[in-house]
Amino acid sequence: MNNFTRKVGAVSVVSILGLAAMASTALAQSSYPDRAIRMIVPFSAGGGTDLGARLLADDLEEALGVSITVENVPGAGSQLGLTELANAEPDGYTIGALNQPAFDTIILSPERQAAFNVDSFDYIIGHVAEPLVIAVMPDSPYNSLADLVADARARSGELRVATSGLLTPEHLAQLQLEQVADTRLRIAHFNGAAESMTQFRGGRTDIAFTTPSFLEGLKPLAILTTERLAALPDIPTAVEQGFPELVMVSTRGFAAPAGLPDDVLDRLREAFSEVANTPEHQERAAASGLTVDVVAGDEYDAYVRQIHEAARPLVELSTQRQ
Amino acid sequence: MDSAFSFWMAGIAEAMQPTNLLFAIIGCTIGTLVGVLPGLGPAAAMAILIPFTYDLGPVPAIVMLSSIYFGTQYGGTITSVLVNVPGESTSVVTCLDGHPMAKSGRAGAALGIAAIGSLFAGIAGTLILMVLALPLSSLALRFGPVETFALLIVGLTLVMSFRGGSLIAAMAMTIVGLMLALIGLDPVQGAPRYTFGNSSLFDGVELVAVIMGLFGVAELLLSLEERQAKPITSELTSLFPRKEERKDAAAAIVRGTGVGFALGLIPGMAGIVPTFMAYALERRLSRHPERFGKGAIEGVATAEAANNAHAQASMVPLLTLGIPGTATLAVLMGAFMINGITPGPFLFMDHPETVWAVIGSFIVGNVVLFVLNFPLVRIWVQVLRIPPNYLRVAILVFCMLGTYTLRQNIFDVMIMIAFGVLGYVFKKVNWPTVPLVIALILGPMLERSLRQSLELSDGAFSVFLTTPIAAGLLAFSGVILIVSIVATARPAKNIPTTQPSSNP
Repeated sequence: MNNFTRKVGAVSVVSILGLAAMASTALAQSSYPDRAIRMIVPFSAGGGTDLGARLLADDLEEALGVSITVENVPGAGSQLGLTELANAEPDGYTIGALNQPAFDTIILSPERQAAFNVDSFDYIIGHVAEPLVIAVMPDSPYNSLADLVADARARSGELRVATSGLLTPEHLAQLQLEQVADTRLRIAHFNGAAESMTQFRGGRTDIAFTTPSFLEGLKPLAILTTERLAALPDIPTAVEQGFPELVMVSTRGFAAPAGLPDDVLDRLREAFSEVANTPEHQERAAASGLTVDVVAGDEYDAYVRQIHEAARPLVELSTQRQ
Repeated sequence: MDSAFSFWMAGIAEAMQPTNLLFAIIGCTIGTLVGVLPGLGPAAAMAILIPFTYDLGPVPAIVMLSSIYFGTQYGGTITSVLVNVPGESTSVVTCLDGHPMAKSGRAGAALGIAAIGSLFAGIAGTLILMVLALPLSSLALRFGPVETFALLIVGLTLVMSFRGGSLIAAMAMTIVGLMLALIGLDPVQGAPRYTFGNSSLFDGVELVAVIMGLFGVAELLLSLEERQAKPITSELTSLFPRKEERKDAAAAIVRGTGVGFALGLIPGMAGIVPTFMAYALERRLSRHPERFGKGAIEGVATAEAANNAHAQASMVPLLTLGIPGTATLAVLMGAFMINGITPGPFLFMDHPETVWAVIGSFIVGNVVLFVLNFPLVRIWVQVLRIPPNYLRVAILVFCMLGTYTLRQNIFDVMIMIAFGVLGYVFKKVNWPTVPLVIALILGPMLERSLRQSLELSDGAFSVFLTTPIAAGLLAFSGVILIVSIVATARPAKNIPTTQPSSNP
């Protein structure tokens, strides 16, 4: 190859690359999305978060017209996957699932040294809500949350409870109860909800903090949502029983790295809520044991920040105890 | 019983699925190969192969690894009979009569009866395991952290005291294992301990790397000191024993199965003990005890039945209590845990499909092994002709590659090499490595259950004495400890205290 052709070759390669880049930028602005979207699930495959994300991804492919690749990046209670999401290019082609309050405890625990904070993401949609329920065995003397709170106060440091891990929603709710009742509980940390519920059913703990799927055969005292759940209309909330501070819901939503172009964020929010609000999607989710509770757009952004601030004092309390 | 029966059937059906069947066959083949090759034990082989099972899913992975375990029991017989070198420690007893039989031209009959005895013991053992598993695991709900802690203490005590050799050394190694288990993020609060700022240590010392080093690399180093196996001297004629031999052997097989299974239920009991005891029992019952050691077929039959029944029975404490009694079972337990399944009282409740498929595969595996070892025994004999140095290089490469692929972390490879050298040194000074590995595996559970117990009791240690099951278990481990101290002071003469590394 002589000098001339080499130069021509180089120039044309550069110009083609340049044109391609311009073209893709132009397309991204006008017709996002035009290629596959990667969805990071920061938990392992087969869990509740994964299930919900995959259901939604399936339906979104049709709405957005591109394929969505769900990628599990588990580890350190979702810290690894969230770090990867926070560091991704904010172009709308990498999005991810996030769980609250797991997300908040990672940011708020100093020893976690999280490489992201609540401002590192643009929030797309709140998708699934998993409320906590306080329940006891059917033969328990407690018939209301007030009975329980009174007894906990009278016998400080004696009632035993199990969590599914440090700083899980169960643990945070137990810390809330301690504050509300001005008491101490014996809190033991187990590995997952199945283990902690086995302790309860084996009679080794006194009160169960659990999710609706574990309620069979138990006497529920209060649900920790702000309003009664349509699916469980008979369980009174803690709020209506006079304990407005006792609210703990584990929510799963979707976010993108902060700095998404406005039109891209709007397109994503629009597509997600369109899909999540269809009855077909909600039925499929319900069949997998997931309650879809859509919190859309700016409302979700506000919700995430509100939950984050609510978790702050509880995480601080837990950190002091260690 | 109805539901139990449907579990069994579902398990066997699952084990017969093409994928699971394929991995059972692969595992049996590898196991037999490992059994034939002296100097490479089942623990090492399984440790080396764990990284290659990561993407298989729990059932195929565990089916393959447990098939290796049973396969080595079969394969070890071949070298015992033909070369008078036990391929596995449990085959030592098989040498006693198997090799004399081969010398007098009865090698075929010896291998034949060994395969038949192993098949019977394997199937019978699995059936007893099936019957025992559910009642034992129904204790699960009664097991809280307090009982779990006491049970783990029993497990560690048993492992320490059954190894033979120095009790002090075994205790020291257990403590070293527990100390190693402390490395990494603490299991409850996530605070880093003994990591020296090295993030590779946050998840603890990589268990598979330690196992590969202690069993794989260390054995390799040891085998360099051994002389090459003697050439095969016997011809293989018919594998079917003569009529009168069959009659003698049948009763021996049944008795061997009984002894092997009963002793195999005790966690930490090395396979050599029931095998030797079954052999001694057979000699005592025989009308011609003088034939033993000179080619008595009952000796081969009972030894093989006993070691295979022991292998099945040793699964009972692993699956139902989560106590791995031996190095091989420790590796198998590691394989369970890598797949997110913790053996123990909750196994049958939380993962019934997986565990019953694994148990079903034991039946399938034994049949596969019988086929591999009965008609195809001549092929395995050829393996003995491979120069050992080629094998050693291949094994070392496998160890390195396997460890690296765990997390693509070169640090793990260095851990493996370090523990390989350590393992070699430990063998040389006769310090047992099995208690170290088992303590390393059980350590995090021990710590978690201790902390949970104390969280629930508000810090009162008395909870271990006021909970009946826990108090009973702790008293039991005290008794074991005292008995083994007394036994160490007056060593028994008739139980071999050999402690080969590959002891399954």
